[in-house]
Amino acid sequence: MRGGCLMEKHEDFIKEVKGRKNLWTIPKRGNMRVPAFIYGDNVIIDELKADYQRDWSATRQMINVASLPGIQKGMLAMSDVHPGYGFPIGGVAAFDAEEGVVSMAGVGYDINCGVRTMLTDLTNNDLNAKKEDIINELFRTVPAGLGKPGKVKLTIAQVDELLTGGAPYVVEMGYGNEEDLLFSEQKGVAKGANPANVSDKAKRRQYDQIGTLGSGNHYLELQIVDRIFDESVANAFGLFKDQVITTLHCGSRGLGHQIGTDYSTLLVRASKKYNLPLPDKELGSAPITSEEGQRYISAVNAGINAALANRQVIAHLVREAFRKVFNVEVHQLYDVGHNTCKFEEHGGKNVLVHRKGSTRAFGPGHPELHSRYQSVGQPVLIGGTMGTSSYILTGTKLGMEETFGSACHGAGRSMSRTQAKKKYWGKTVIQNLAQKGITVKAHSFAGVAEEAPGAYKDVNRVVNAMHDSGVVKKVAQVRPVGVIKG
Amino acid sequence: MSYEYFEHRADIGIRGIGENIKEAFEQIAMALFAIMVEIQEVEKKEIEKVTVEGLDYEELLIAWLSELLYLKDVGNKMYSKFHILEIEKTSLNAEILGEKIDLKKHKLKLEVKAATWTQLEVKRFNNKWIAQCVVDV
Repeated sequence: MRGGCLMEKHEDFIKEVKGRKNLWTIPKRGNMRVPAFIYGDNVIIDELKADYQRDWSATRQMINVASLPGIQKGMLAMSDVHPGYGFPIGGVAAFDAEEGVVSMAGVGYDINCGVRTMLTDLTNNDLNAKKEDIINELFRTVPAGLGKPGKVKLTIAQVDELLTGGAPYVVEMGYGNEEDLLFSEQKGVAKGANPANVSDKAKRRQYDQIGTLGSGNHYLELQIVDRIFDESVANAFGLFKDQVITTLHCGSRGLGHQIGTDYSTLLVRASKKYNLPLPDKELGSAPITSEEGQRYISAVNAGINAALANRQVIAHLVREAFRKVFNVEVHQLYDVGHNTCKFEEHGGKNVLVHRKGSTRAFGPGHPELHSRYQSVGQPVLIGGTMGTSSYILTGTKLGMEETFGSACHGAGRSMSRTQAKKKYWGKTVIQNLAQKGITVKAHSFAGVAEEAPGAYKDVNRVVNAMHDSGVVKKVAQVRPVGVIKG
Repeated sequence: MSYEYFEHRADIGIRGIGENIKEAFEQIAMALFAIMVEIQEVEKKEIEKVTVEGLDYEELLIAWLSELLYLKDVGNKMYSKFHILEIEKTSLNAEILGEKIDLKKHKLKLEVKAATWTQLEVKRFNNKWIAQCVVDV
């Protein structure tokens, strides 16, 4: 059995936090330095309990992470929690910047995988006549799937500049505008990236992958705002009912995967060198202040920048497509990452916040937010599946106090890819979605079957559980009308 | 010798099985590429040499699969034959055969991002060798 043998029944240790809705805790036990906290309703918690009996368990991963030195306050799991690599997905862990550790498992293999949403002034009615045109144009211009190179080709020197320059670097090349940067986390660039700590192999994988969507759960969606929950925040965000918007989900591609691969080995070795707990081979870590820790953090920042640049180039292609088909401009709502570790100040203390499958959700008044979002908090973009809703939420004061300003990131899988392929047939999935008014264009039918809506948890439940806890607030619900998959 | 897949919630487990460790490593590479492409469509047109190192068999397996993922990315290629010439606990030499991706000819499937340490094992089991891990897709 992995991750330490805890033989008691789950009922014995997952407890409801009294006086709070949808907040649960695993009190400190064994090697845990802090308790764990879980945001979820009864169904989510029941799944988590059942999961504990399996070999691959998010609960056990939470207990393992809570045993790492320097962890602050608690190991946190958002409502989309499910098992990941060493860290649970939907996991948030903050470590003291001096005494704490950095773990590759807390970031994952797709560094700064994230979501960018862009808004148009078009309504559902404007879309109807040209819906197929815009979807075909997006499918044609945005490279997706295996073996599709991007349109931007870089030299090795340019890759280095991109790794420190992030999205502003490609804006400078003509892909996008200043406004896009203002409405991105960290204004589109992470400081502290050092390309010298990124292997040549990682850089070579980047030469022609900038501006490509990739495959798996990544997508580009054309969406309609279906429902507004909070008019005043929606106003501040520029959202209105029946509005046409577009959302893309992708990450740092081969470069990020290679950084993850390179440092997974290095950090397992560092764990042994610094005598850190290694209850799971995937949970390699290094003291933040150590040479290994510093190198990894600077490489992660480079990966964050690659992903920001990647989404920036795709955003430009999307913008061009809308100009061509509708002769309209699109404006960026926000760009959020959900696989990151970042130094942030919380409660007057400098901490390294790992968000693995968790979206940053800064509340009102945070100094990093653009003036337009100052009074309402940042847009928190939650991706659903091809057939279900996505959500736009906003951060709250409670979230800043309890979750280091973090929320869930998506629905989370409920079924393995193998099971999904047995149960669903790609072409049938596409036909069924077409009947619901959702056009799917994909490069791989097998990929569509694996990403079938039925293979995911109910995103409404995940979002409602988070909303009801008070950590984030629902602003709008959107539904897909066109989906592009790798 | 053969390869197979095992269940994993979010991603895919791959396993190579052989009479010896060499075959197990060759077979797991087949499992890796069969996720991404219809492997019988990939012709053995070009040959490349691969050398990787690790501190033990497990690190070596991660290094081997990671190197193959790297080579397919930078060469924009797919591979269908893996021939391990030499393998020791800390290093291996191999020749791999494949060709450039041709979107008209190859039916491409799901991209593998990385080979992970999850359920990573290289061991003898029932008189066979098995090499396995979960890959992130």
